[in-house]
Amino acid sequence: MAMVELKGISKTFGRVQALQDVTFSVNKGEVFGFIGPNGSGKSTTIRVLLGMIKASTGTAEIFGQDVWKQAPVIHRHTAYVPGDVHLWPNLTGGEVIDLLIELGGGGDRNKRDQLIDRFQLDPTKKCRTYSKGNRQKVALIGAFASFADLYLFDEPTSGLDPLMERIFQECVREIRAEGKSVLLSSHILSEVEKLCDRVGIIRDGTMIETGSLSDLRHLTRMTMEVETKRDVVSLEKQAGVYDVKRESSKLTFQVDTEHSGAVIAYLTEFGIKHLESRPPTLEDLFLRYYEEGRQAP
Amino acid sequence: MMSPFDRTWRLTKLLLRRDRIRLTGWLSVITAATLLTAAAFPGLYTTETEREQLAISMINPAVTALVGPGHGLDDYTYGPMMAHQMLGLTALIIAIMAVLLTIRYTRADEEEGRTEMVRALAVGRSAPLMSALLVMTMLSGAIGLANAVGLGLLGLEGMNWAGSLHYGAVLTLTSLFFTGVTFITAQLAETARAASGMAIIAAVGAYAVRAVGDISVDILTWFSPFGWLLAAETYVNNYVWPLLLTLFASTLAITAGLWLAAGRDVGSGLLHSKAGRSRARKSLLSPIGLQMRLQRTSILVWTASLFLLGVTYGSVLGDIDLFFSDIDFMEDFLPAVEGLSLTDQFLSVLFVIMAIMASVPTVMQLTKLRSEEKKQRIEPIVSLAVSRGKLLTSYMVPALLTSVIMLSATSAGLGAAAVAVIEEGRPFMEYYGAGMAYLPAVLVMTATAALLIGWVPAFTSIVWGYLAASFVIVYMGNLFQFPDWMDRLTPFGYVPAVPVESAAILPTAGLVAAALVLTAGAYIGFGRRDLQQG
Ligand SMILES: Nc1ncnc2c1ncn2[C@@H]1O[C@H](COP(=O)(O)OP(=O)(O)OP(=O)(O)O)[C@@H](O)[C@H]1O
Ligand SMILES: [Mg+2]
Repeated sequence: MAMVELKGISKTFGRVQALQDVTFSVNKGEVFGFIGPNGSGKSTTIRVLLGMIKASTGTAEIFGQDVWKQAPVIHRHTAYVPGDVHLWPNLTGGEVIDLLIELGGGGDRNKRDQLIDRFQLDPTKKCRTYSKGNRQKVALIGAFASFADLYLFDEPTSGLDPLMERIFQECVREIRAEGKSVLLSSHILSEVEKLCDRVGIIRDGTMIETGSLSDLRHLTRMTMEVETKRDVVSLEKQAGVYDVKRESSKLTFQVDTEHSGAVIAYLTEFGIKHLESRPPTLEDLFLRYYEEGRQAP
Repeated sequence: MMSPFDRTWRLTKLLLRRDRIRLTGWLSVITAATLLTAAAFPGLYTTETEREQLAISMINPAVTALVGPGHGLDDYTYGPMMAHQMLGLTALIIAIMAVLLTIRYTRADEEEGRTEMVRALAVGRSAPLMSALLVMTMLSGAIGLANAVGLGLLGLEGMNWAGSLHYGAVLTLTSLFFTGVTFITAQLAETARAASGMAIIAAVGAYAVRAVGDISVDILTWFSPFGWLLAAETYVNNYVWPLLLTLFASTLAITAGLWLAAGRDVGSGLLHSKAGRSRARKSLLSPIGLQMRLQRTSILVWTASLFLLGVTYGSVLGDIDLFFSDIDFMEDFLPAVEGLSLTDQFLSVLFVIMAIMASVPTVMQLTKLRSEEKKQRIEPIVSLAVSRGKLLTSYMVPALLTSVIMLSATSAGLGAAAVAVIEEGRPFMEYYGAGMAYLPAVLVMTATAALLIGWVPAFTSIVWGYLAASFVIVYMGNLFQFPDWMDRLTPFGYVPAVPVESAAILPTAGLVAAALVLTAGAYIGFGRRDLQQG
């Protein structure tokens, strides 16, 4: 079942076309990674989903309900954490957490206290005195402690230190184990790689790829490192081979996943001493799509 | 080994250069305000009779509380007039200036990391504080000197050189004293904000203690530096001992501040602010509860200020006929109407002004929605189970409450004072009712703000222009004889001016209906538009 369903969403701000025909869905029990370069439209998509801005065309639904018309009803079962959390300077962190939980449709008091512990937040301090990371913790604790079925995160760890980032990842795994769904926009690709079942890539307001990580990997190249007994000749001429670099007897190159079998067979002819292959990281994937985008226009 | 004061002078020059505009700004604004006021006096009160009448009208508790006790009222020349009407308030403003600047040169610099940077360069440990002291001393001296010389050169009747120098000395000492007080709070408080808060409370508190001392509990006057300085009778007796007393107290405060500073780490305070609540009270947990909590301090401050404004206006009512009978200008302002006393006519003008003043905090409740939107603080709320309508309501309800509270406070203040000073006047409820009659007009103003926020948020501030225009129309309208139809451009023009005119249902109902229609429009617009970021 789709918890989030976007179909042909476009959004224009005056003359700026921020989103163009964005279509994707987040299924129940799934962590969906939403990645793309700066200004590509991630936050705009999430703001449409939250009913903060109205899509120019297309339909967007959460739990099968219209995100604009049914916003307050939907929000009883969602939780949201932005990248830049703005809080009321005169309230304490603890007060804000309670406010977020209460106005969001209730939550678990014990879990709230445990989370405050885990994230090492001092809830008695005024928000004015919190650093960016601490403000983000306030919003995260409020979100994880609420009764929600869908979590919308827009760069939720941009201010957290590595230790806290790990706790965030644990929390996400826990809620996924409970069957909750997550839409996670992030620039920290290793995080997305670790947490997400499926990934959507957006560029210039258009979705350019959606699928599971292995699907995406399949579409792209892996890096190989090889040492052979005899010198390899005309590796460059093989189909699907790129970026060949020679370093004495060692060769490093990239190869399209679909051609990897044929290339290995070719290399065997020269007597393989050592072969290492590395599947593309999400970063490789991302950079490739990004480079393409920069070359295209 | 480096002395703690190494490079103090270089640092001082750095501060002077960095803040040359800010410092000369304070100096010139304060001096100009003093000199322009003094220069205006001869034009305003030309004859001795006029000055005598002014002196008489000044003898009442509200004026004494506001500006301090009058000395030399029996020979009310321009010198004593300045010392009476201007010196106290100027000193208060200078006190606040001293607090703001001293915090700037001490804790604020620390918080922004400038002090650490400076200390890392080879400067002595006490150099930052000493250079702050030097800059403040120079500014204090310059302000005193500029005012003294300016007044001395004006040389109006009763303004001799001795008095003018005394006047300047009072200003210099006030500045020094509060520099010292701020030196202390800057060491105690945990943040720059808290430190300036404490020092400003000390300054305003000292002024208030002086006010209570001057009007009722005599002894309190001696617990406030403002009490000492205003008792020095500038331009009348020019006593020197209160100046010496203040100088001694200032030295004490500054020394205490330096001593405390020696035992403090950069970026922390000696007093630790007590921990806040770790859980929210139930009353906070709703959109309206949140707004009430966020705005409660400002509502309290406005209520007190408007009550005092009402009391001030009310307390002059007793002398109105006497006060104004002589001023030609007033005849244009309030053309005589058959069967009405000047007091009653003056009252009707007062009520409109008070209603417009009461609109300011009320409209602010709404424009706060816009500023919160810009600061992206309504997004967290809207991302929760709170509809746009509920969110707007959480600003409208406090605004409605504020309008009632503000009009009540100012009308009650005026009523209470009027009942006290006018013999055989009207009953309290008549004044109160006359003020409250403006409630529908205030609501129309508020609804206008809401409508702008709902449809054209970028133009929200138009409502302030409209309020200012309303003020000009109703206040100056009589004076400049604006055509009658102009009155119809502002909601305040529709309210029957009770007690002069009799109350009427129709305009009131019309204003209420207009407020409702505008509010409905605001809800529709706010429910349809995109939220904006910044
Ligand atoms: N209110 C607005 N008015 C005009 N343009 C806007 C507005 N909001 C967003 N945009 C534009 O829409 C585009 C998408 O912005 P968005 O904030 O969604 O990007 P993003 O993917 O979240 O980027 P980042 O990774 O930097 O957070 C940008 O070009 C931005 O300038
Ligand atoms: Mg973004």
